Amino acid sequence: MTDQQVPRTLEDTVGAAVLATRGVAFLRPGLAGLLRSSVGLGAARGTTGASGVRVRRHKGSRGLDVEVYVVLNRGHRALDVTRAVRSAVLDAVLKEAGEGGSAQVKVTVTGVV
Amino acid sequence: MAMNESGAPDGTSFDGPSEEELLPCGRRLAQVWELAETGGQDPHTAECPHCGEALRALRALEGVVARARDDEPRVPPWDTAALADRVMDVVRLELRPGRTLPLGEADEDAWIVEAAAARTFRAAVDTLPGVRAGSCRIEADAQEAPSSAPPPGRLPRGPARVRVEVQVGLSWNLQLVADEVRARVVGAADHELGMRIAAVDVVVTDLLDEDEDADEDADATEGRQP
Repeated sequence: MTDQQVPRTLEDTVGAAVLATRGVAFLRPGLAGLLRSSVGLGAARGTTGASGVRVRRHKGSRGLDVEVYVVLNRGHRALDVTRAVRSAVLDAVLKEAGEGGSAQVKVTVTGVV
Repeated sequence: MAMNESGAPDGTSFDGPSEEELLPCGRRLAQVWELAETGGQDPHTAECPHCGEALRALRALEGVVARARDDEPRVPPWDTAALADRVMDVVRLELRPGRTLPLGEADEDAWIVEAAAARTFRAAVDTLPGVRAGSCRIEADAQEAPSSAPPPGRLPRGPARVRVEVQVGLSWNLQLVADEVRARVVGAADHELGMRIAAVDVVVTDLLDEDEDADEDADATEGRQP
């Protein structure tokens, strides 16, 4: 079961780590993000609390399930970027949760620009 | 810039000394440079060491500019229309992503939506002269039994089977073009995505009359009939 929500700040931390990964163009924008960026109210890249990152905690444990949805920059091998994203997410979770922190990380490429 | 002997074009006067840089011999620097660039002859300049030094400095400056221009990376003009198209592609993918396909090895948890992978394959096929990629579908390879049930909406982790439709120019040998298409798809899967491919089925859906540009490239294209 992975039904426990985690603080939004953790999603933001994970999102920032993903965005800092080479080859990542932006997190998958939700429709709100797409509309927001289309009317100039803020770029999707700057909003990490979007549908591009989902973090849930395993019930009764410190382990996390992290799902990341990213759009990549053209010219980067998708698999290599997803591996780098996984590593960045694990580092971020470890830093946030301490030595006992752990996470299962699923990375999905939703587009290439 | 046309300048007359008085130093002011068409009677217009310049203010300030910067416009009237004079050489020690009394000639104006701008006049000496302009005369040299227009190919004019001046007995004084040919003999004068100051004018000669000014012309050498001009040539050196031109050389520096030329080298700097050559060293500049050839950046293509920013194509905003193409960028807008790609962004709209992303928007469409968000609304209609299709299935999700595995990237990497069986024990990894990396994925890519089918539409993004198919677009990569079509673009790779389109690099073949006289070939246009059409529909591209990606399925799990039936020969590879999944070790465990995939998550909902995702294909089993294992090599994929690609089916791509192409339209090809009349000068292509169909067997060769099919091999070339397979090679492009497998290459793109490996180098651009990191996706394992079990097989590539190529379906030629139409033959194209090739335009003149394609004919010009024909001699340099491996696999095409003369």
